[in-house]
Amino acid sequence: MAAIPPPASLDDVVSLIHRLYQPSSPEELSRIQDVLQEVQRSPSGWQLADYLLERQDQHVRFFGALTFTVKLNSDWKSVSEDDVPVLCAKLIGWLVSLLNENSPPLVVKKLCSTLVVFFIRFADAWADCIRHLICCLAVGRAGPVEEFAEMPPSPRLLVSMKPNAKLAALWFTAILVEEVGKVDTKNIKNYHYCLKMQSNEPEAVELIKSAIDMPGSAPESVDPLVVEAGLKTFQAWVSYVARATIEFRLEFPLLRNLTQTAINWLAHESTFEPACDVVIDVLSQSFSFITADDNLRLATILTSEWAVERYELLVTGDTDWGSIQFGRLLITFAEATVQKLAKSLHSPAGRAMFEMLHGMLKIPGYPPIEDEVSGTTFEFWGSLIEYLQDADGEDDSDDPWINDCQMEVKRAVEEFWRKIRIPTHQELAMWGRDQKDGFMSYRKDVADFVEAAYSLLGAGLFRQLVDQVTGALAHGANASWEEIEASLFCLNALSDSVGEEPCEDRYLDQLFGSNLFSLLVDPGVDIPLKARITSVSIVGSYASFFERRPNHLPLALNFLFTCISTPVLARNASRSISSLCSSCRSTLTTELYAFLQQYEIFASSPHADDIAKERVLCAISFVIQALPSEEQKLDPVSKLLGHVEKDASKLLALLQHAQPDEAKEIALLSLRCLVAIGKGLQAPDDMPVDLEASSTASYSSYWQASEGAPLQAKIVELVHMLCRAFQGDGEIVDSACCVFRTGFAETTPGLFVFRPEVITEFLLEYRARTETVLATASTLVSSHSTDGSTEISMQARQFLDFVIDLIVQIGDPQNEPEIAQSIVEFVSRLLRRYVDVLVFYQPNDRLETLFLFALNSLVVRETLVKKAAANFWTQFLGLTDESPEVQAAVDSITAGCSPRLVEKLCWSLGGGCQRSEVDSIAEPLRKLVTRHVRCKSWLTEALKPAGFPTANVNEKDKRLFVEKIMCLRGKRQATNQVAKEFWLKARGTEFAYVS
Amino acid sequence: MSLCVNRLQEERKQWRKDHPFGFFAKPAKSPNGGLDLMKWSCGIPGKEKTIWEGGLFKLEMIFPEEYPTKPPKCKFVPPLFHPNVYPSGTVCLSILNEDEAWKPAITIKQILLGIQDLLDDPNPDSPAQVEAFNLFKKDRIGYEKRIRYIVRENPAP
Repeated sequence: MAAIPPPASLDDVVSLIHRLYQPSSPEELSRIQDVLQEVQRSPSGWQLADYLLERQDQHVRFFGALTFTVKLNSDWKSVSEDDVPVLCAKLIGWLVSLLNENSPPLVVKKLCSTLVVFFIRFADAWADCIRHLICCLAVGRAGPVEEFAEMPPSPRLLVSMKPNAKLAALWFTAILVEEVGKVDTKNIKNYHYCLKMQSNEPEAVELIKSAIDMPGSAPESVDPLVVEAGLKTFQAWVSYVARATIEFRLEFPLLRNLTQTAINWLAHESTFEPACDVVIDVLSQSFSFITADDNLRLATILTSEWAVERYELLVTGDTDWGSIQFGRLLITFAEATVQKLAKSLHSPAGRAMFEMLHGMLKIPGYPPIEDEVSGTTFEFWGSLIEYLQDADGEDDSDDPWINDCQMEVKRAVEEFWRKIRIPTHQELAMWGRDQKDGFMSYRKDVADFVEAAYSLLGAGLFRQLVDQVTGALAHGANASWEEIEASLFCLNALSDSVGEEPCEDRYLDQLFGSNLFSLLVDPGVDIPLKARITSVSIVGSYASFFERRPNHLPLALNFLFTCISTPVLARNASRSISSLCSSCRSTLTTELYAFLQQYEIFASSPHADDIAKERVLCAISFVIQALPSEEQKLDPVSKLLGHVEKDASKLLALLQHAQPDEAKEIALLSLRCLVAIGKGLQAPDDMPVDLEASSTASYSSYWQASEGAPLQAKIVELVHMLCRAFQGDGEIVDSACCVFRTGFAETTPGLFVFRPEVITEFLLEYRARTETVLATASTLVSSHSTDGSTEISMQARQFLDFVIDLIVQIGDPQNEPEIAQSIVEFVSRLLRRYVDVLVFYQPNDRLETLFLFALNSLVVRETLVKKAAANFWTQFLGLTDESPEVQAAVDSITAGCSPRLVEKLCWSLGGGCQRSEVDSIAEPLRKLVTRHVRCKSWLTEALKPAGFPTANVNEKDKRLFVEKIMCLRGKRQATNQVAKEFWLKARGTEFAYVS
Repeated sequence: MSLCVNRLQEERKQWRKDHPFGFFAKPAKSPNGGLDLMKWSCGIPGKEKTIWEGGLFKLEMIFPEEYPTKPPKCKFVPPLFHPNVYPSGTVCLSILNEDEAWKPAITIKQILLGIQDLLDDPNPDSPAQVEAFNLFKKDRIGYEKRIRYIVRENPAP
């Protein structure tokens, strides 16, 4: 595409402007624009603007006005003080002449906004801008401000002003506050703009008044365009004033006198929409603006015959913009005056308003697809509820209106209840994604509303909802499941609100004791899926009720088990099964074999959901855990493991048929199922700990040395088999480690509490998966560091051998930061019980390698490694109460490492680490200060070299740092602060902002 | 009324008026049956067209007395597998850090949208948990697989 040459003449410019309005490629248009902008910004831009405005073509004139704006924004400093009034007169002159030629609004408006830019640039020179403009427009020519000093007051001038001139004045006045409102108000230098708006208020009010004043006799004679512009200007001022009053606490006392007039325009067909916009804005943004008279006027208008007609149109489902606006107006008014409205419920006007508000909830169609109105009323009902709740505690709390308003809320619940009914399958099929989302979102809002309503209405509402369900269920197979679903949905929303042992329990008794579950599981009854989904969630939501009333549990669980075979219900149902079995485990032991049977049916389906499988296995294991003896657990748990084995056996066949991906998925699922069973069998947290029993925890448990032993061996075998089948695949090993982990937290023997040597053997066999193996080993060591646990020094030494082998391979921790981190974390774990294993490790040179590695880990780039290393050193330096031989070894290692340790810490604190790491790095330093007398000399020595850690810190800075650190004797906050200051200093001033 | 409570009431109102689809946020129930404005329970859906799509993750927002001068603490319950979520569940995000990008003008809606963005766009410079961070860095395929599983475990209703 050809480049665009810069225009050589004014005609060239004009032709470029013409090209801008002709269809063309976006690239070309943007190039034209660039060229034109260049000319506009050039020194001759001012003349160009004049020249363009002289032309007849409107696009060219528009561009002329724009050119003035561009110059005012880019080059306003070049205008000399003397030229300012000249420029002002010139711009107004152009406006007058455009108006005389009846130029289209586009150009006139553009020039009005140019004048506003002029004001922003030269506000002091044009303080009385509105009055000046009105005078010029009245006489039809531009002139200096002084010339008009003797002119009659603006109201008189405006009476005879031509409509188009008045429109221009209104546009200017509206744009004025819009633009001034965008000026940064935080900057005190801009405060004067606000004062200038204040001093312009009287003129603005007169101007708006002249536009919107209603002639007493013939309102039809007014120009609707002028009224509309007047209303919009009023709106712009209201918005500005709302902000200015808050931000600067400035008063604008006159503007509010216009509110009533604006309200009166509501009832006029041609001005309804702009008037409605204004009133909504005033109501929602600056309600304090509205006087009692205005309020009364609005209330009267909104209940007048005119409003009734509007309302009728709205509730028949008219989705015209005007109707929707009217609905918004009603709601905004009701919300803004909610207190008054509530108290005036019994007055005819109050009653009428409430009826309209209810009517808005009865518009036919699904919200928000066909009914866009009811969804806009939540805010009103929410405010009403809040007000009623607040009023409840006050003196007049026994006033009848409170009770009556509660009835209105109850009515609204019923109305919303009708709105949330699920559509039929056919209807739903026609909805798009957005429509479905919209409906769901609406239902969620209703749920929130019902919850709020319940906090006001209490058990009565709960009972009503339950009655609705049981009433509908009385029709048996012909029950309306849409109604039942809607009630259950609302009840679901209340589950968080009912207390611990609520009176609602008797209604729940009524609900769950009804034929609900028997109908739900009856294959002969046609029930919408959504109703089943909601039923599943309600059982989950009221799990605590089932704990209190376990007699309902079998039916509920039976229902849930039938649901797990339906894919869409499986997840939710299995979640509820799991939570019920966990909390009611001991009352469910008699149902155990029924559950096992149910699981068998479910698991035999080829499409059984995997997550549901895990959850249900875990759920059944919860119940098994509650059996009183280990012997009793053997049979049911063998059955569960049998299912897992059966699944796992499939994978060998798949592997033989070269389907490794499918086989791997099955292997992973089998391992996850084992984890689920292991988790289910864990003793619950709230179980009393048998102190005596835990101290005798030994290897001779039922699962390790008695009838249970073969089963435990089977699990280990299965895990090994899976890992071998996939040659130690990382993901498989990860999952296998999770199986072993399930027993780590246990304090008493159990099926999943394996011998440490078994676990160690497994981990070392699959050591290639280094990080997982080390993480598991760390947890193993920790679980054998608690009081009463068996000692595993031997295994700890085996792992230490492995770790040091790794270190020898890696060399510098920076080469393998993730592994380095696992190593450092593992070694830290040894410090609780196995310090001796660490410090007496032989040969000594290998031990040195390990400590050197821990030192170097302090200065790698990765923050997590650094923090792990800092943590290791903090713990190591904190070792004090070891046996004499061990302590002597610890101290000797400390003495050997400290000089280098201090050097690394100083390097880090001296800007080497990230700012967010300073606190962690300061920790080992604090320990050194408190524990080691030679700390000061180590620090001084480390900081001795000139230019270390950076050239930004001099000898004095370093000396001060050392002294401060020593003086603080390890106090955390103060030490961290000193460290941070040193870090900042060393990094240099450019980082000072972060402190 | 304190600045903090005032602001939280306004936040609640704004949220009720307008909130992004799929999210929820409401003050928790206090033991006496009222509302505890200082602690909100929230839900963040995974973003469309990301591996997080279809999930809904529960989060607690705990407001300090000094709010909005200080940011709320945001904590996934249960803790979420994500590089920028601490093992405790606390979210590590610059706009939630008083020393970094927190500003009193940031709304609850913006925070929740910010955390939603973080889900699929972890910040590798501020790791908060080892497991997710290392997997994210070293084995993107394994990481994504894990996320998909978590999404299936925490489905949006």
